Order: sequence, then C-alpha cells, then structure tokens
Amino acid sequence: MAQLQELPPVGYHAQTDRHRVGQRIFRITAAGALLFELAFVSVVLIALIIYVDAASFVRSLTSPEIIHSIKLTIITVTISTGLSMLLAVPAAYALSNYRGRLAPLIDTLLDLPIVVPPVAAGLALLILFGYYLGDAMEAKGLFLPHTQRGIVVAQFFATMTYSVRSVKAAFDSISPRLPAVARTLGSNQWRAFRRVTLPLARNGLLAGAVLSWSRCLGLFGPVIMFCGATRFKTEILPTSIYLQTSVGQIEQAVAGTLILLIFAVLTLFIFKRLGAPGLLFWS
Amino acid sequence: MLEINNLSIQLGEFSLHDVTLTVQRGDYLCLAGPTGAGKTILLECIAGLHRADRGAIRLHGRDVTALPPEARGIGYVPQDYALFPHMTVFENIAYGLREQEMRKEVITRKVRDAAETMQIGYLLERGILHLSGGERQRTAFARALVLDCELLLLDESLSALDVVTTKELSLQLADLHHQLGLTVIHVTHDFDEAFSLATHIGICHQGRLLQLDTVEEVFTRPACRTVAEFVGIVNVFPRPEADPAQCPVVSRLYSSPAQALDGRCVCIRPDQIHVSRNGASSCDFALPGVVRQVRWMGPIHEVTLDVGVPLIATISRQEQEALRLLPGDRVHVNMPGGAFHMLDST
Repeated sequence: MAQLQELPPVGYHAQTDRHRVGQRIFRITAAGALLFELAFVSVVLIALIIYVDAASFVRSLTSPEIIHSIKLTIITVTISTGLSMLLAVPAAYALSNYRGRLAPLIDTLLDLPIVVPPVAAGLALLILFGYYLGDAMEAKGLFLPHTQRGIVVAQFFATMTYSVRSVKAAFDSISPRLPAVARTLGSNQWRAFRRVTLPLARNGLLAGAVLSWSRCLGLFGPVIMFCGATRFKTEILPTSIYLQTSVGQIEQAVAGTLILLIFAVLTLFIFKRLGAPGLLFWS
Repeated sequence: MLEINNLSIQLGEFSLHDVTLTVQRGDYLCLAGPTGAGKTILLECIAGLHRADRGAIRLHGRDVTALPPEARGIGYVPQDYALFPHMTVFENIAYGLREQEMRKEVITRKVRDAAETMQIGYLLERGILHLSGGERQRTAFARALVLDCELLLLDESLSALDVVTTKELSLQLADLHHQLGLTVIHVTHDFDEAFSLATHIGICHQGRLLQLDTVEEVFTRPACRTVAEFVGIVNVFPRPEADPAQCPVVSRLYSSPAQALDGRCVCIRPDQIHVSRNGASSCDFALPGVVRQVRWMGPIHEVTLDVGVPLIATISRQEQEALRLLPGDRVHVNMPGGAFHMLDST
C-alpha cells in the first residue's frame, strides 16, 4: 500500500519523457548551430593557411611590395586610430553629457558612417575632397585623393563612429556622482575629468582604440575608391591582396591575408582581455 | 550661516518650489520626507551640482548661487558615497587636499589624522573595492571632513548599512558634530535617525519645505496634516463642519471652551492617549471606547480604539502587561487637553 502511494500520478512518465525529449532536441539544436559556425570559420581559415607552404610564405613576406604595404598599413592605421581617438574622447564626453532635444539627431548622424556602404563612403570622400575642395587643397599642397594622406582620411572617416561609440560606452558606465563629488572636493570640470572620469574609462578607451585599429586594418572599399590602388604608393595590405589576386599572384595575396589575419587575432585577443572587468585596475 | 531664499528648480520629474530656510552655525538639520519630495535636489543645489532656476543661496553672507561646487567649500557625502574606485583609501581622502596643492607631508599628516578620527587608520593602503559598507562610509566621511568644511551635506549616508553599523556611525557622527562644531544638513527618511542626531528638522513634500523647526516643535506641533502624518501622528480629525459625519467626540472637542481651536484640523499623538480599564481620570477628555486591535511593535503596543471615530494609542509593554487589552474590551480613553494640537491646513 505504501508503495502504491509513492507512485507518481497517471501520465507522469509520459509527460516527463516528452519534456526530456524536447529538452534534448533544444540542446542539440543549439550546440549544433554553434558547432557548425565554429567549423565553418575553422575550415575557411584552415583552407587559407594550408594553401601556402612555409617557404613561399616567407618569400612573399620578404618581397619589397609586401614589406611596403605592411609598413604603409601600420603607419596609416596607427595615425588614423590616433586621430580618431583624439577626437573621440571629447566628442564622446559631450555626447555622454548632452541631454538636449537634438541628442537623438546627433546620435543618428554619428552612426551614418556605419550604415553607409563602404564604396559609397569612398565616393563621397572623393567628391568632397576631389571635386569641391580639390583645387583649394592642391593649392595649399594638401591634395588628398590618391595620396597616402587620403588613406588616413578614409580610414578616419570609416572608424570615427566606432571610436566615439566605444568611448561613450566607457563614459556612460561611470556613475555621474563620481565627477560630481570630485567637484565638491575642489576639482574644476577639467580636473574632475582628468583625475576621475578618464582613469576610470581607461579600459574602455584602450578597447576602443584596439577596435578602431583593427577596423582600419581591413578597410578596403573607401580606400580604393578614394585613393586608388597604385603599387608602392597607396598600396595598403587589403589593396595589395586585391592587386596580387587580380594579376594571379595568389601566394602573395594569401601571405598578405595571413598577415591581416594574425593582426586581427591579436587585436581580438587584446580587445577581449581589455573587455574583461578588472584587468587594469582591480586585478 | 546658510540662507536659502525662494529656491526653485525643475529637473525632469523632480522639482523644488520656493524653498526658504536658514541654518545657523552648529545646527544639525535633518531633511525628511517621502521619496521624491525633493530632499536630494535641495542638497545638490546647496552643493552646487545644479543651477537653481530662481532664488538665492547665501553662505556666510556671500551669494554662492552662481558659484561652481569647487568654489563653495562645502563637504558632500552622497548616498552611495561615490568613492573613487581606482584609488586607495589614502588617495581618496587626500583627493581634495591634493587639489589645494598642499605639501606632501601636510597631506600625509592630515589624511592620517582624519583616518584616525574615523577609525580607519589601518585601511589607508587598501583599495576601495575591498572595503565593507561601514568602512566605505567612514572613508567618505574622512574625505569630506579632512577639508575642514564648516558645512557638511549628508545624503542618506547611513541608510545603506546594517542596524548595528548605522547606530555606531550615528553616535560617532553626533560626537563629531559636537566636537568639531560642524554644521550639518542630513537628508534622511529615518525618523529615529533624525531624532537622535538633529537639532532641527525640515519636512519636504512634493518639492516644498512644509515645516522647518526644532525637533521638539515639529514632533509636538506639526504645521500641517502632511507633516503630522509624517511624524507619526495618525489621529488627525477635521473640523466637524468640514465633515458633518464626524462623531460627537470631535464636535465636543471643538466646542470646548478650554481650547482655542481655530485650525481646520485637530490632532493628538498616539503616545499622549492614556487607556485605562476604570473611568477615574483627571484628564480633560475621558471617553468610553472599545479596543478593536492590539499590535505588538517591539517595545510598545499599538492599540486601535473605537470612540466613535478610530483612534490609535500606543502603550508600553509594562502597561499592556497590566491592562492585558484584547480586541472587544471596553476601556476608558483619557486625553489631556494640552495634548491636542491644531493644524493650519489639511
């Protein structure tokens, strides 16, 4: 009798089984989707890596054209990231503190470079700095289209929104009470920003710089539209890959791609490390 | 020391309307009121964190209304303490001194003194994230006090702590107030805290300062019904002509020649109502009543009585042990005439 009382109610097993099967299907679907994406990324990358042997990779790496494009890429990307961050810090501070009626409009305008197609962005830069301002800037020796300076401008245009967004996110995460209390302790607005807000946003600023740097690194559309693809002149790594592929030098193109890939993995690793809370201050 | 005249400000949903108050040197003013009453905005206006739309704030006779916070010299401890998480306890306390560009030895000495006063001398090299709630609060106090400000603003600074720590810090705060001759404005919603610390209490409600007076005055003679209810006076009765349904008890009270009853409401504190089983009493008003409910509230019992209108009395544990009141018991309710207080408005 006691055993009978302990039995589950009628239909219990059927319900439990159905529940278990449903749960298993859900888990398998989720894990399967994840595994598929991982496999796809891995297979694509592996195909790229095994295409070229070590000897030809090293040979391609040491070719003057690749060395030139690596140097030009690193220099232009670093300058454009630096400029972008330099402007992003005050711009993001203003955006973070401005609560006026125009705030949504300003916010939307700033996002435009993200949604404008890269080729269109390059064309727009060409029209502005070539057609409208070209003569005036050439007279002052600052002509931009088809120059290395132009590469920096194209990269800056494409990346500034990312910089502002990531820096703003860092500022927004800081309690407004902290600089407010700093003001009551004797700091003026600039000192409170420098001594409290800026150090607390440091992780976010570094993460923003890394993100902007990696975005600039692979930028192709605006650069080729605005600056063209002249060998040993405006040939950054993405342009170089395009040029090598177009003339059938696939090994050199793959070598350039692998270099970009190494940079991308490194920046992703740094970005993830910076994104981890407590890395710089509180570990 | 601090004079505020007709201060008004609108900040989103929160606002202040024509707040006028004066705080003398050495006063401990507690600003109390329900959430959203405007207490914190008032404090932040005094600190200089918001620019008032109208009105003036004068500190030591000097108009500081348009001055930025750093030019006011007012200590401020917000509710969450706002300690700088990227600095140690020492660096937090030294922050304001470094802004004054003091010499390193002077900063070290002053920080150590302030830390000793707040009993956190052993924490100076520790990071903020490794402190307990009480330690954080002491650090925030030390950071404000080290600047020798004459006016200290506290925004619910004791509310986030456990009961024991709150009491301990409350006692220390009272000592500091006396020893250092500080002038303090303390926002709180805890009346026990306000009564134990304050020399004056201000009651805020819907952006207005309804009453500002000594603790005794606010406690015994609230200016209006809102203040009365806020200080725990639950027995508030409108004039009979304002509400003809009121029982004869209140009509009798209003018609009493002994009372100069010219207000719109009369109130009596629950602790000034005496309950007895026999009718013999020297009180001005002795009424028969019935006990409706007895609630144990720790050291006191709250007794809901029916004397024609609901009346709430509080009696001590010893009184309840003697009376053994139960719902349904018939009792005599005695109220001294002087215990009634007229309210100017509802």
